Amino acid sequence: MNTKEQPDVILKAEDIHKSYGETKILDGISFEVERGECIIIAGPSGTGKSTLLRCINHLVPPETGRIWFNGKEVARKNVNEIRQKMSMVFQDFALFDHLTVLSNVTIGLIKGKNMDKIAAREIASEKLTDVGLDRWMNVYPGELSGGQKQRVGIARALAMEPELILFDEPTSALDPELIGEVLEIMKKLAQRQMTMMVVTHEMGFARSAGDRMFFMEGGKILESGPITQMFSNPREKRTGEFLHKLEELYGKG
Amino acid sequence: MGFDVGLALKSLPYLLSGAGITIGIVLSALLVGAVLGLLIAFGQLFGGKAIQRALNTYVNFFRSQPELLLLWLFWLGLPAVGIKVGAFGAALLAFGLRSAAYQSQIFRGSIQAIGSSQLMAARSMGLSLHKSIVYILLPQTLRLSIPGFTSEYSIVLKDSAVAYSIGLAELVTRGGFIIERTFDPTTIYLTIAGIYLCLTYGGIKVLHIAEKKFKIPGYH
Amino acid sequence: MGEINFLYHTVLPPLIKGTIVSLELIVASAPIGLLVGILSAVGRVYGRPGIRHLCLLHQIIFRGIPLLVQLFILFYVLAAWGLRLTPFFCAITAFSICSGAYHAEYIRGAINSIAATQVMAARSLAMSKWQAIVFIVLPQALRKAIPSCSNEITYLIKYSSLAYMVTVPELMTEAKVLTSRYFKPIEIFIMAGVIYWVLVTFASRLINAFEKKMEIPGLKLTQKQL
Repeated sequence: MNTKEQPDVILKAEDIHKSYGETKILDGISFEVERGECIIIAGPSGTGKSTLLRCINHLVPPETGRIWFNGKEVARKNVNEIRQKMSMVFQDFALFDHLTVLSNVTIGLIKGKNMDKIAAREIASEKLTDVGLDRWMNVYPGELSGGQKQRVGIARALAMEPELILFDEPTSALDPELIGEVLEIMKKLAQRQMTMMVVTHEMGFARSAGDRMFFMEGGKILESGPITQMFSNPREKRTGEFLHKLEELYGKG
Repeated sequence: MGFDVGLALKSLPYLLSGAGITIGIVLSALLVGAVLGLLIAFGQLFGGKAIQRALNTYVNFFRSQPELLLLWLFWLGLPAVGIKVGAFGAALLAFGLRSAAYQSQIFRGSIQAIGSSQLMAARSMGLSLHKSIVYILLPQTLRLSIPGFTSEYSIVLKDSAVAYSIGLAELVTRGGFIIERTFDPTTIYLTIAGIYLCLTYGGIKVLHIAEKKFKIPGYH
Repeated sequence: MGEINFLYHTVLPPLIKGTIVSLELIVASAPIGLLVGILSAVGRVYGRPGIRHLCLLHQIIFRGIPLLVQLFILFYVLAAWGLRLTPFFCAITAFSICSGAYHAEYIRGAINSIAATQVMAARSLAMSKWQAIVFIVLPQALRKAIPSCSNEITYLIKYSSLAYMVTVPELMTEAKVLTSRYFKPIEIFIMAGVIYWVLVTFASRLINAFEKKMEIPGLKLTQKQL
C-alpha cells in the first residue's frame, strides 16, 4: 500500500515512558505512522494500549519521550490546537448524557473549535447521516442501543474533521450483534484513507481494514509490521501465539 | 479578643459534663426513635389501610416540624394540660418522636430492600410471623440500616444544641453560663465547636466500625 | 366558637407576619446556599490543592457543628471583635454557609458518579478543563443531585426557625411572643406547626414539578437522602 517515495509521516513517537506509581505502563515506545495508514494495536490487557492512545492526544502526559503530530511537537501549550485535528473514540462511548445526539456532535465544534451554531449543525447532520443516525438527532443517549451510541461517538469524532482518529477498544463494550454496525463504519473510514490507530481484538477487522499492526506487551512494542505478515510469519513467537489465540476466540472475520 | 487557651482549659470539665448530657439526650432520643421507628415501619408495610394512612400522616407531619417548635410544644404545652415534664423529658419527647419519623423511613427502605420473599420463605418453613420477623427480618434490617442510622445520629447530635432554648443543661447552655460570667464568647463558642466536631466525627467513626464488624461476608 | 375566633383574629395575623419574614430568610438563603455548595464541590473535586483543602475544611467544619453554634459564633463572636452584623444578615449568612456544606457533599457525590471518560471526551474535542466542567459535568451532576439538594432546601425551611435565637422576628419568634402573652401554648404552637407543614408540603410539590421538568431520558437521578 505504501509505495510512495517520501513517506508522509503524520505521527511520530520517540521513547515514551509512563508509570502509574510503581507500575511501568509504557516502557520506551517509539513508532511512526504515515498519513492514511490504519494501525491496529493488539496485545494482552493491561499492557498500556489505552494509555498509549491517551498520551498521543496528551490526555495523559507521558513522563519522558516526545510526540510529534504533523511535524509539531505535542505539548501542553498547543494541546487544544492538536486536539482540533485529532479525535478519539472511547470504549464506553463517553457520550454526554444530558445532551441530544445532535448536541453531542455539535458541542465540540461550538466550544472547542469556536464555530457558530448553524455551521456546526450542518456538519453534525452530515456526519450523523453518514453513520446512519439522521433520524435520531433529537434523541438522548439514554434512549440508544450500544451500537447506536458508538456510532454517535464516531460521528462526534468525525465532525471535528480530524486528520487522525484514535479508537480505544471501540467495540469491546458492545453486544455481539451490535459490533458489526460499528466495524462497518470503521472499515469505510479506512477505505477513505483516514489515518486511524485502533486498539482492538477484532482480528477480522484487522485483516480486512488494517495496514500495519503494533503488537504490545509489557509496555513495549514487541513487534510491528504489515498485517498479513504479522499473522502468517511473525518474527516473535509470542506474537504468533497471541494472535492465533485471538482468532480462536473472536474468529477470523 | 483572641482565643484564651487558659479559659478554654479551665472550662473544659464543666463543658464536657454538659457534653455528657448532650450524648445522654442523643442516645435516648435515638433509642426511642429506633423502637418507635421500627414499629412505624412495620405498620406502614404490613398494617391495614387505616393504620398506614395514620402513620403516613404522622411521619409526614413530624418531618416538616422544626425541632425548636416541637421542644416548646412539649415543654410549655404539656404543663398547660397538667402533665409535668422537665427540660430533659420535653427534649426526649421532641427529639425522640421526630427521630422516630425519620428512622421509620430508614427501616422501611431496608425492609423493602430485603424483600418479602425471605419473609415468605420463613413462613413457609413453619415459622410464626413473630419469629420470622425477629429471627430473619430484623437482624438484616438492623444491619442494612446502620448507614442511615449513622446520618441520623449526626443530625440528632447537632439538633440537640437547640435544647439550649428550653434551658436543658447541655453543652451550649453551659457555654452560655460561662459567657455570662466571663464575657468571652470567642473562646467558649470555639471550644464548644471543637467538642461538637469530636462528638460528630468520633461518633460516626464508631458507627462505621460497628458497620464493618456486623457486615455479612458477600452481602452488598 | 370563641376559641376559633381567638385563633383567627388574634393568633393568625402575627403568625402570618412572621411567616413572611421566614420566607424572606428562606428565599434568600436557598439560592446562595446552593451556589456556595456548587463552588465548594467543584473546588473540592477540580481545584488546586490549596483550594481543595479549603473546600474540604468547609464541608467538614460546617457539617460537624450545630447550626445554632455557627449562628452564635457569627453573631456573638464577630460582635466581640467589633463586627456587628444585623440579625437578619447574620442568619442568612449562617444558613447559606451551613446549607452550602451539605449541598457540596451531595453535588460532589454526583460529580464523582459521572464517568471520567466524559471529561476525557470533552477535552479530546479541544474543550478546556473548565469548559468540560461547566458544560458537561455540572449540568449532569446538578440534575443527579436534585433529590438530595431539594431535601436540604426543605431542611432549610425548618432550620429558619433558629433565626429566633438571634432575635429575627420570624414565625417562631412571633409564636413565642404570643404564648407569653396568651398562655395557650398548645393551640398557638400547633397553628405554627401547621404553617410549617404547609410550607414544606408546598415546597416539596414545587420541587417535584421541577424534578420532572429537568428529567432527561436515561439520566438517572440519585436516591433521595433521607
